[in-house]
Amino acid sequence: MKKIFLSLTILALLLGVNTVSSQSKASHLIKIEKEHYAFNDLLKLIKEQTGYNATYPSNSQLDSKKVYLVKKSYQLKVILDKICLQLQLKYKIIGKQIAFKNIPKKKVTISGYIKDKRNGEDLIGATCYIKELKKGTVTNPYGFYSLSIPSGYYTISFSFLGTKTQSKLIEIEEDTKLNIELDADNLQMKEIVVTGDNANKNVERAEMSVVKLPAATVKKLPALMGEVDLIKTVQMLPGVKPAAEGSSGFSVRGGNPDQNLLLLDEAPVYNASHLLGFFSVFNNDALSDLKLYKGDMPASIGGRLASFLDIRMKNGNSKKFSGNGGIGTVSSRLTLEGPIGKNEKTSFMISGRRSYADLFLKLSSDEDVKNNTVYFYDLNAKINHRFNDKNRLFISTYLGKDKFKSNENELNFGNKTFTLRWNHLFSNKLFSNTTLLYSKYDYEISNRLGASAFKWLSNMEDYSAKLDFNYFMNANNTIKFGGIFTYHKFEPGHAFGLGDQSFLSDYRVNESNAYEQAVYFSNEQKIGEKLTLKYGLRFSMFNNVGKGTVYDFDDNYEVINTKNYKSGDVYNTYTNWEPRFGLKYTLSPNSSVKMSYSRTSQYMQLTQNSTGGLPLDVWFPSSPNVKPQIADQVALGYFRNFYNNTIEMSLEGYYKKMKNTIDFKDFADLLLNKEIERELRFGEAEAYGFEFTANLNLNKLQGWFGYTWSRTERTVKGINNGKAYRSPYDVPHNFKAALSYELSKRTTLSANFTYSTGAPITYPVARAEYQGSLIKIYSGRNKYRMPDNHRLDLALTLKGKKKPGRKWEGEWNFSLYNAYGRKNPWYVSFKQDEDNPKVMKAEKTYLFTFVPSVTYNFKF
Amino acid sequence: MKKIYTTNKVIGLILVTATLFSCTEEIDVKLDNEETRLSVEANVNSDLKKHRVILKETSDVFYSQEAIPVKNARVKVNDGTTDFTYIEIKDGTYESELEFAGEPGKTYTLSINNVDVNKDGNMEEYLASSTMQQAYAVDSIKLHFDPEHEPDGDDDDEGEFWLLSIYMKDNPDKEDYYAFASRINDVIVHDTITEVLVEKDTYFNGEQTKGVDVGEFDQNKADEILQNADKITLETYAINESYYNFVNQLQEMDEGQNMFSGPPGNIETNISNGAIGFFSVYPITRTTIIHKTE
Repeated sequence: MKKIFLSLTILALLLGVNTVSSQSKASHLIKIEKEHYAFNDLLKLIKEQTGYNATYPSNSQLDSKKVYLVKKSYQLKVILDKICLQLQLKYKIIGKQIAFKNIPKKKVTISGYIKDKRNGEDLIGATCYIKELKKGTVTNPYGFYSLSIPSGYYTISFSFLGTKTQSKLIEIEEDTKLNIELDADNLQMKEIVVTGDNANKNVERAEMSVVKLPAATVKKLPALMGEVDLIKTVQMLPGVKPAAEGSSGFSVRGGNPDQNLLLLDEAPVYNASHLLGFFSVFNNDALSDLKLYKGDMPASIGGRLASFLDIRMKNGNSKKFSGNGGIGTVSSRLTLEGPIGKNEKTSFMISGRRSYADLFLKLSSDEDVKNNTVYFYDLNAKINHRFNDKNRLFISTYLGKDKFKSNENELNFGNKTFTLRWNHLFSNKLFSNTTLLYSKYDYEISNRLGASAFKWLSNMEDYSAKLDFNYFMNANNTIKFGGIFTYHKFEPGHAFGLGDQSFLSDYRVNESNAYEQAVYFSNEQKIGEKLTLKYGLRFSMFNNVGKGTVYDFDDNYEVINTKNYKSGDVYNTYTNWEPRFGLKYTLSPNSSVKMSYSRTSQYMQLTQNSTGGLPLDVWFPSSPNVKPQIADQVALGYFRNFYNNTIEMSLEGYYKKMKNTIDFKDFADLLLNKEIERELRFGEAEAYGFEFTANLNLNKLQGWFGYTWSRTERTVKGINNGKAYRSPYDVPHNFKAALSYELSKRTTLSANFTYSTGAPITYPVARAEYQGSLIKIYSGRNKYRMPDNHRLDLALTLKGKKKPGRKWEGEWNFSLYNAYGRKNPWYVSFKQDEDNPKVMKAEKTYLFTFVPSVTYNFKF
Repeated sequence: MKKIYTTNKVIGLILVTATLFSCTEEIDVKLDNEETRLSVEANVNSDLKKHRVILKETSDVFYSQEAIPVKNARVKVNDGTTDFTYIEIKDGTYESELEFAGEPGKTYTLSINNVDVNKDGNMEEYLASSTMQQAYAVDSIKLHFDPEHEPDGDDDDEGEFWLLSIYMKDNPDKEDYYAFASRINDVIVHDTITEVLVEKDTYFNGEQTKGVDVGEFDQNKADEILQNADKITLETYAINESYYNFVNQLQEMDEGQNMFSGPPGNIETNISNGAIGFFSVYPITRTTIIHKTE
């Protein structure tokens, strides 16, 4: 009997003292006359109305402390909770006696994972916020959060865009683990209480120049041939421009396409294009989330100057087996995901896509085209396992390939990535992630034509190991540190004759190897309620490693000396200190100013000389002849939200200075060239501009619009007579809108609109006759501009009726790309008239006018 | 020989696909006026003959007439010891007064005086020099028929062709640059610079050519149809690197821009003072066979 009593007491203590107070006692109603009371006045009021006496610690100055109340009347239990929350007390009711006690003050940590209740996916960037302390934190890319606070009695809310906000009243006396599952927000937006102090919002985050897009948003927007494409959506963001019409390459704040770091589950993707770049390698069905950093690069990231696109694959539904897919004009897709075993510890996701564009070729009247094979496929797969609350393992992979084949020729190219990650919690404050990465890009071209039959191979591989730590020191300091080591292997080109008939010899572009490594440290520090500082430092190092060959060039770029290095010899080293700094100052609950500075360095670049980009372009490393590229960017921004944060606006200005910029000489010979470094020219570049963005998250209307004004210029010795010239991505005016409107519960209409100044171009300005032909004499580099570029795309999504008891949900998507048929030039070429060779004509080639498409998407 | 490993060739596949999605349309482009410059077409080869220099003015891109000849220039070529004076035989066309044959190893210098192309009232002087390489030894040539040949260049259709194969060995010890042109019964078939095939030996250094095709006769073009007993001649020019670059760049430029070409630029020249064109110097190896139709 004694034992049972003891157990009950312990149980009662464990459950929290409040819960033992019986309902009957606590259900007294107390009428309130004022907005606030001094503590002892309120106790008197309670006593008058309920007859309950109160005791409280006498040594405190509680008597005169104010308690704020809003309603006209409260139940006793509620008013006691209010008092405790506001004055950080706890209470106990014994008979007619209320005993208040101080909560013993000590540092405690609340930590855990935030997930989506529907499918168990980690929610990245979900918010945990403590109202009384006005302190909060967000989950890291693995859904983990940790917040160190004084022990106390708090209202803690958890929220994420598109989910219901969950609030809990909790007394936290000890370190607490709290794993949260947030449910879908099926209600209208207005019914969610968007609290004015939600730390998730644009204004409060310390980072700037960052855009986060859930895969679901990408899906809503119109797409070329109905093929939902993350890269094409990224190109719709202010500050980002497509490298060329229809291309998968993009320029961020005047940078080059190869200055963007694309990581898929942390593994670099070296060529994101399928089929001339019309489509990207990222199958939206397999993805959960993307985040684009246009500047303000975190210290944990380096190696590219312009941007970082962080793409995460879905973990796979851990709750139930489900699938989704689609049948489109260009390709079909299928994704399957689900738990393995019970207890939600393991889940998988596998997603595939294959195009059938070659079917269109069969319709062509041109025999050459008819016999061609053209297709691409992608495969994404991921598995994750939770050993316990402290250890999780993720394995993910991507495989993709493009194939072009005709009677004579064949071209295959594709990426492979593999990521293995292990999350380990050393404590509830120290989170670690260990990553092993592999990435490969290769292509193969062959020709089967007698004397000139050949095969041409190119390959590059990365092997990396990475260690990242997040140390949630306290509510005011979040420290991140870690390091990465990468081994790069370059096999830029090897071509050889095929068969005895072929007269071609074996030609191999020198292979090379490099180590790229970095260590970093950063802290995000809150100072007072208004100021947040972010500061960090990254130290990066790049080594050229043998076996390798280095050529010395004279002033005319002729080889004067060749040096060979043995396997394993580190023959060249570059190091860079890369400081990163950011500041946020809150002006009002709805507005803030931010600034940032970041230095980035880049040790690898692409031989991309055309804006369109070729699958044959190869990456080449820094070397004794090629210094690493360095960029310094400063940005200043004003952020302001309206209507309960449903409209987020920002205005950012930036200035970027780049050193050791690389461009290519006229008529550069960049492929299958041992002496490729001869073709390079070096100089400087600068870019500046401002971006205005408005994000709308209203009831029915969602999306964004923005205007960008920007300039970017290069000065490179040996190009344009050494005078400054426009970068190919110099586009001063750019207006963009991507909006979707919910017409009814089942119908959504969406639209993309983009307008931009025509891209710079070099035109011939004169001509000379030479042996029956015309020599064109060109203007300075990029002196002219193509006609302005604008386009409207529309899409209509119709959801099928949800039938009770049926898991299958279908959805039709009708889209119209380039709805008013604007003939935006893809390129402009000057050609002699076939009938009269004395006459020269300018011709523009354009793509895609009015491309309608239908896609059927389903999930089960 | 089709051009080896050139981007446009290997990505021909992709370009074919691109044409499916694209359309072409003429556009108006406004261009600034440029200063007039001198354009020079000059050659000295190993034939014993009167060699020619043609001088013209450059013009606006959209100019639709014959280029304006540059008259009354003083033109001469020096081979290190002797001056060869040129005389104007018709407007803008100058011919050496005497016949001479270029010799391998000699450096020829062209000088052009007494012209004021930019019309600033000051006479300009233009200079160019080039060294003649050693002639190539060609073992033999052979003709073969291909009913479904895909010619170089995007615009030409596949069809019936006679192809001319070459058998020779490339010199492994040096970089060699070749140009090829062919004649039917001594009449040159491919007379414009864009039809001359140029190649460097980077990808077949020291190899036997194994009968690779270096000439093509389109049997759907009247002046290229082969008859029995036609005399077929292959001219092999031993060109130097800079002339190779000039022709190669000119041909690339002539193909026009596409999505995958780099920004266009101005092609190389060996003539001073901002002139356009080239002073080419090379020996010619001629190989002849008689065509027999079975």
